[in-house]
Amino acid sequence: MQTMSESGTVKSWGEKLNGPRHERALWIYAAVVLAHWAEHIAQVIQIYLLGWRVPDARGICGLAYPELVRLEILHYAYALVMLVGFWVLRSGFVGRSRTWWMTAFWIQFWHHIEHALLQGQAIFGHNLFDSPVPVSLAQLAVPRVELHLFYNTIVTVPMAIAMICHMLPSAPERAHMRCGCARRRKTPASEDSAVVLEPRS
Amino acid sequence: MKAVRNLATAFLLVVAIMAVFGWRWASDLPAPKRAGARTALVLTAAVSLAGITYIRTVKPTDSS
Repeated sequence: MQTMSESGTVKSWGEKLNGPRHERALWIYAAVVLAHWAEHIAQVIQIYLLGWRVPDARGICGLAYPELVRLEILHYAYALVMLVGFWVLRSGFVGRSRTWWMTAFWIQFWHHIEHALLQGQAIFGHNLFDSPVPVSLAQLAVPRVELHLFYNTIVTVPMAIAMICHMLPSAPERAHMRCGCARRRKTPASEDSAVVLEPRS
Repeated sequence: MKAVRNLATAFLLVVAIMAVFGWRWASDLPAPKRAGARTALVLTAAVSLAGITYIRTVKPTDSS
């Protein structure tokens, strides 16, 4: 879908999302990521600190709706939403932040493949390696809870670094940014008085 | 900006601390599973701490 901006130029939905709406989109995306993380953190607290059995540790939503945790489609859908979010929001990033953002994208791509394998086993009703439950490739070496704690960490760390680099761009990076995510910068002379020299782009 | 850095730091610190508790918990697992779980947990803690270090120190490249 394309709309006409105030300056008369036509902006597509993607351009707006990576331009004036980039910051809001990133906040929403980060909130979704943190909500998902809250479930994983709750689950490991239940296992590691409260001593619950792994099958009983279902996070927060899983306590009220146990079937949610067992639904592979839910896990796959979240992995896919993450992947699409990384792709859709990528062009707003430039320079260092773009490198970190795409690093997170490619790691999430593999994470999504692992979830696709699990989802495939759930659909076809046949598990790999004669396992009683769906298993991914890396699960052959690492239990599921620890594996996904690791996967989510190696996706979230470059994502967080990308967002912070994006908020603190260098001058060349700032010149190429089309969004308003860059934080205002102080010059050495204005360190104490916090005088703002550059408006947010 | 400081709030964003602090939020990211606090979150990654929680992840690293959970990995430490996980290491202790994994001592009850059978040997092959224990090795796999602990490898993932060590890497999780290491990546979290490296992320914290980077997030606390990153600056605009032209500001030094």
